[in-house]
Amino acid sequence: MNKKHIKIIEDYSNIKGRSLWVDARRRLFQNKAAVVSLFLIFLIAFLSFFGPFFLKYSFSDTDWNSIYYPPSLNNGHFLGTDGNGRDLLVRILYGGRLSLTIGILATLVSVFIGVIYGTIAGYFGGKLDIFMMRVVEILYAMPYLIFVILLMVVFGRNIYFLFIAIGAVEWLTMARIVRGQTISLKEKEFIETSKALGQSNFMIIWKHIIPNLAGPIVVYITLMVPSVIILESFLSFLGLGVQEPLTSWGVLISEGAREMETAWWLLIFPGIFMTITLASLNFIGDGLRDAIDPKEY
Amino acid sequence: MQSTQKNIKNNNLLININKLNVFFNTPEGLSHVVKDVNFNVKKGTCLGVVGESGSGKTQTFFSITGLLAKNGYAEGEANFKNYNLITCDDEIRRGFLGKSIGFIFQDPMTSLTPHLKIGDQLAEIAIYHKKITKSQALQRAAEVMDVVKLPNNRDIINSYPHELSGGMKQRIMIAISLMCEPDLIIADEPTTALDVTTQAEILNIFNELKNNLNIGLVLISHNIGVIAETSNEVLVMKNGQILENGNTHEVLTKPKNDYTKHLLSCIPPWIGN
Repeated sequence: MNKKHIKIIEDYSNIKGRSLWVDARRRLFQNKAAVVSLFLIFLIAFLSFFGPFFLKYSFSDTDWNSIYYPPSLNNGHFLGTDGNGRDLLVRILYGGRLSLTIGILATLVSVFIGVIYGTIAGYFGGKLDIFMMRVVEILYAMPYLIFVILLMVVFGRNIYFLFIAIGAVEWLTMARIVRGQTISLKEKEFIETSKALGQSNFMIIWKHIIPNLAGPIVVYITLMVPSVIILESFLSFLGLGVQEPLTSWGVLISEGAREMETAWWLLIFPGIFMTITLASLNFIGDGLRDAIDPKEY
Repeated sequence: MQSTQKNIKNNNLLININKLNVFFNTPEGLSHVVKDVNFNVKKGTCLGVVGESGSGKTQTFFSITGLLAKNGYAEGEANFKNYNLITCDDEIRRGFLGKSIGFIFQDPMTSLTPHLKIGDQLAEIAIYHKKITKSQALQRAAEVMDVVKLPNNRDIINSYPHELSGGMKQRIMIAISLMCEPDLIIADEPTTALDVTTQAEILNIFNELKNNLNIGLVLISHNIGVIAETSNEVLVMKNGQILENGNTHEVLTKPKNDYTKHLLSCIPPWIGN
């Protein structure tokens, strides 16, 4: 090794940090829609987690003087009250905490299971793949409601098990998508090259397959978070999810829909919050998909 | 005098292929694609393998490196450093691949992982096989990039595969196979996807590798011109059999086999000898 090489390495270590993720972040921040959406999501998350501390009502307080009170600035019920006289703004913020947490945690659970399961089935193929995919199909065929009810019965009605139960249902589609992508990726020449260079299967999956799956995974995550939020509201409606007086956006909207002719604000305001969140997630997903692909500049 | 030369030649023996057969299970029955192939590769020499598509030239070397498709299997001997690569454990073979045996594929455009930087891809293989740190691996990367004559190492180390031209990518592929100081490099049609000027540069690099670094080279090609320029010995293959085997100059000037004569007569006369 000569001085020139040492110089090259010093230069290289000086400009380190332009990894795939740093590049991806830079490209994401060039996308205006994604930046605005990120800001909105963080704003809603921040308000949900810290907002209630600055409001004068708690989510379960009943204000007997103002039942079905429309939105006004006079008595502190900025977004009105519901049929039990509870402040809607506080309830939306509390619901946001729950919906966002469930949406993100359950999605992470399902992505974690789905990606591992799908890459193993797709990469190794053969009998293992056939067996693993038949298991997925059997679980698909099982009504997921019964599955969730079973899980809740076995583990008890705990809100954390709701995350796991939803994640355990949602991973099936993820596993299928990941398996399909893995099968097409493993035929690519760069995987063959890695094999010819003597790399182990684990390293090939970890360094050459999963990063190339990032695009479809991210897009699917942004579609999954909304569907998880909706699934949670459905389970809560059946009495399997969140219980009164706790609430979530899905619960608020389904209650608001029943009373929309008399008290429109009970439907409109939770709806606005949910719509903004879901639309932002979609824009972030779009931006991330473009940002992760190094060919996009 | 002759006997001493033979001794030196035997010490130079790198890989010995003995009665190698490759089969594929197909819905129509067993297909015998490589039939009783024998040959040797010596250090510092280049073995050219010519033949038409489907003659089994690629599958011969895929069987040695364990890259056969799932329905294929091989029988016979491929003796490399006291191991038979056909029958040995996957773990042992993987230890050789990338470390002692480099493999270069036909299409450089798709052989590099699209989301990893060139530097990372070069370093990865040395970190894996030699258990060295990343900065050591990058130093080695800068060295091998000089060997394959890539200027501006720093810029290239920091770029993604899609930012490089085809010739540069093929040089990177050669550099990757050089990272762990291999004894044998198998190049499967390394210049087919490149234009003629780039092809000449790549062949020059191969010539330097074999002369300066004493690497044994296997050059698989259907282009006799490429073989004539680089290889010392040549195998002519057809239907999974070796039709002719010997010194490149002799085979190309005085072909004994009809098929070889036929192949040579396919070269347009204005290209010359």
